[in-house]
Amino acid sequence: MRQILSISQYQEIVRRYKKQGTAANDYLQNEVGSLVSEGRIYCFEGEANVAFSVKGGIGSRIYYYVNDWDEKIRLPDDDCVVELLYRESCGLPEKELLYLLSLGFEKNLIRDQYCAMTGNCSILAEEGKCIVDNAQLIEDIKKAAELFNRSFDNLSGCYIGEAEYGPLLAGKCILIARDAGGGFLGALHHSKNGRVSNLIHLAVAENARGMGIGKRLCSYWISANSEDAKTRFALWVQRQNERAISLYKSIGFVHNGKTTLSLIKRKNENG
Amino acid sequence: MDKLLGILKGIRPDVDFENETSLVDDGILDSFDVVSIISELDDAFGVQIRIDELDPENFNSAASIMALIEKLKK
Repeated sequence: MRQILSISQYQEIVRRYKKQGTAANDYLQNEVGSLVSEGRIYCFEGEANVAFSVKGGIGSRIYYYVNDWDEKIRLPDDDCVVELLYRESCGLPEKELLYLLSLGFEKNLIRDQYCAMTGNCSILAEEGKCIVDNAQLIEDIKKAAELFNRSFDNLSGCYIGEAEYGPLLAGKCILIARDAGGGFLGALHHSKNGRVSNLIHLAVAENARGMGIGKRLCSYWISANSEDAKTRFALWVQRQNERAISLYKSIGFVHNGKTTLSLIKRKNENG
Repeated sequence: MDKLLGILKGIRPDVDFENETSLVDDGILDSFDVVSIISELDDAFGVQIRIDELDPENFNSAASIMALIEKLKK
């Protein structure tokens, strides 16, 4: 394993392994620069195949270029997650799935990407029983992060560590829903990429579910980030989470055909 | 151009490829879309795009993608 120390080093490795017909899940591209500067990207080079490992808050995320199905890529001695992105119209890449299973990965979650544009969204007007606003204090971020981290699979999803609390507060990336007395009802985590606003996490406190808090949070998120009728919104949702899918569809989100299957390999199974 | 637009619409039917000019800069196309486009261009036009040609500028519009194809075909 060697650490990637520059973008050109990463590009040189990709040039060496990327050929016509190579199976790959490397969608890092513009992220590589920041991963290099943060010292989070490593490489495992084989004869024909290569794996990049990106260290996260919990475990490592794996990206690969595979030219030889018989050569097993080496993996870090850590909890690992790998994502198989595919289009529904093209179907799941079975050969890659079998290869990953042969490395010891196990199927975890299927998530679908949903998109919407402001002009197609049906959102709720504000009302007094549930007040939504940007998080104002680090304590708000902590409460939201704790709710997200216990509501989602942390290896496949986006675990929020304490180091991120400050940037999330400064970036106004967390919305908090409160009742009229200030009680915490739920939170939404979003980020902007160009002109597209992405929903990263949405969770409602256990004692506030079934009260429309999720739709209130989404409504605030959409109206606060809309520049015009063509402003775009995107999110990934677990396929088995019918309640969340129903919420997003009721707002106007539609599946855009992109799906990801996450596979995980736990540390104690690495042998 | 019609062939390219057909490919692009097949990958992202929700995008107005005729009029958008900041597809990558605006975040409308993500890296998965770009990789999918590259793969389809290879199949349809026989052009292989190297990693150093993955400049967002080359994928910001259908016209810039077409220009990249034309450049690579020469």
